[in-house]
Amino acid sequence: MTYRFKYLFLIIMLVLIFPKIIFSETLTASQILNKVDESLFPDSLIMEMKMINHESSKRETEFIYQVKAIKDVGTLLIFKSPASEIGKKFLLKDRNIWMAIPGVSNPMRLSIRQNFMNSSFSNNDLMDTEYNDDYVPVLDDIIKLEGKDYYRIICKAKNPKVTYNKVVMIIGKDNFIPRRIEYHTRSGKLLKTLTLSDIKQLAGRPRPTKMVMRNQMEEDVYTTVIIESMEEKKNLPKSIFTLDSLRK
Amino acid sequence: MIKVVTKFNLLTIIYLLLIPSILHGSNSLIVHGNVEWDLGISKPRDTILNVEEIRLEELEDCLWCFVNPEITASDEFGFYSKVRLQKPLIRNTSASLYVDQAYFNYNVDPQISLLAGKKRLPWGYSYLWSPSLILNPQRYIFEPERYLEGIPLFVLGYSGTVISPKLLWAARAPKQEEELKLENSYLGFQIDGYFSGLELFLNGLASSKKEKSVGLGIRKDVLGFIVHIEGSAVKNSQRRYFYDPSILDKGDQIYYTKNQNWYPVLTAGFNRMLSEDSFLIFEYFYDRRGFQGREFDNFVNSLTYFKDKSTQSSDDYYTQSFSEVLEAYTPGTIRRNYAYLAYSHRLKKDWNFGLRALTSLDDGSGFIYPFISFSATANCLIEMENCVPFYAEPNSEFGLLPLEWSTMMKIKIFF
Repeated sequence: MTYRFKYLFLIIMLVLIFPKIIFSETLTASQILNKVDESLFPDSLIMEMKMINHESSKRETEFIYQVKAIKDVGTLLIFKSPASEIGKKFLLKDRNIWMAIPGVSNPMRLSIRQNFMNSSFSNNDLMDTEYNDDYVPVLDDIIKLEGKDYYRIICKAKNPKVTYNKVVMIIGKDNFIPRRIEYHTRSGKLLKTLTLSDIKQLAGRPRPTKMVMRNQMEEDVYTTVIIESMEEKKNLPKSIFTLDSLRK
Repeated sequence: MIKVVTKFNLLTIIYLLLIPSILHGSNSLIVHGNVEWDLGISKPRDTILNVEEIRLEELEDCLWCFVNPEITASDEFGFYSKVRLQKPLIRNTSASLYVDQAYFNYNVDPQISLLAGKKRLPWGYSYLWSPSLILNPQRYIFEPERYLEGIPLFVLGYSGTVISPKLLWAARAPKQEEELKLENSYLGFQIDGYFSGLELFLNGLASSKKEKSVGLGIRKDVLGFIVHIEGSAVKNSQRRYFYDPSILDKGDQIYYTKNQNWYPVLTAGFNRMLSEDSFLIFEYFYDRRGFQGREFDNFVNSLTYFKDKSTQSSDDYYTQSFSEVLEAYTPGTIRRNYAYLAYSHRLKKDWNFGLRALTSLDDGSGFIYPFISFSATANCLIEMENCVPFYAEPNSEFGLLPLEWSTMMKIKIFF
């Protein structure tokens, strides 16, 4: 084999075998976060969720709600259960949230940092998972857990209005699904931990269907969110993400 | 026996409209609501008025059943209603059935919608008072989110992402046993705007009786305080201003006047999450139409005068006049300046504490309304509530309430 052919063989090998490695190693933290967004939810969707507030070792409160969302437009959440909450609606748009009880109150605007229905989630945790918009991500390390590689990304808040100052994410290197997300206060203290698991095929790709949020201050108190169904819905009208939809 | 109080034949129209949608095949029928048993004790107090004249049914023993049937016929068509069955227990009067709201919504296309029926006009940002909505019945001041009666209306709306204009036909809710009259109807508009976190609206209403209002409001999140300011100018208000009864001649038929000026009405307030478990709402209300000084004295003197006359004389004129003056006694809206505060705090797990307080800044009278609630299960709530009016002068706004205090236990079962 001449030199020329040796070079050609080497180039072909590099092109065929290594691009995946080269590509994945060169992903920026921001690109990884974009892929995290995609791994969690499609851009336009309808899903049914169950939220269980574990308020003590004995007491649990269960809520079922429907979520309609279009990325960068808004998220609308409508309660189906329990009976005392049927019809209650939440709308998230930009960094603002409104709550309405149809026929009872005008849509009331709330703070994004407020706890969602007495759960361990803040309003923002449940309704806005697009970390790239509000944080500057840095790829801190690639770690091995149970034989699998994970990215460790540290996100620092770029918008002072966001709920947490620092968010640390452990993200599967193969599927870009977060395994754990840690939320830190301004002083650097760990406030909450979100664990994502039970990966199932939903809306055309594997996605985590169980999320458990634990507040570090209260050991017995945590909230589980289960995605019961999810459908990508490309023709959702944008008008449902207006205050008018809460008034109907 | 159940007395049906529909007030106008809107129900018939609504249910007739429902038939095609049901025949078309409804997607879902949801019936939800709650049964509530209120058990109260109160200590009456002697004022110009007595307990029988001021019916505070919400502070008495009563069995309530609220049912909300909702039908979604398709993504475009939905019907919603709120029905209230009310049965006073100790007075043992007959049960009454009210249709508080019954309306349908039809989305002509993703942006354009029609809404028709009996519904509270859900415009504005205020919690207790709505300066620009002269049509909606005033909220119940002791518990603003209690059942709310709607008004007959028809709204054509466009929902844009930045600007959402609406056109409205509506009517004042007729009083009991009164028919819906077209001369009590209003035409109006509202333009809602939303620009990067700032909400604002401009609206206007005009009636065939030349009552008019123009309103403007803004709402914004300012450092975690959700602040709103809402104001309006109201002309030809229906409010009555009473003459001093001492100057009335014997047999004088005219004892009040109305004012045709433009009057400003304003609400400013905020809500704020104080901690993970506590929430605060504050609202200030100014109504230039409200009674102040001599106007309020004349109102109190008219009450006293016509009450005395109606007990001394068999002339219907005095009884009728007394009822009309009494109708103007609407605590929480009769004077010019008010402050309202609502605070709720989650004590632990299933226990909540709350406090509502309202004061008339013109005479310093008001009430405090503390409550504590316990969630026995997700669908069962037990509440203990206490209403205590306070006042410096017996003839002040809340000093006239014939109530020393009232304590209630409420048991609510949701279904």
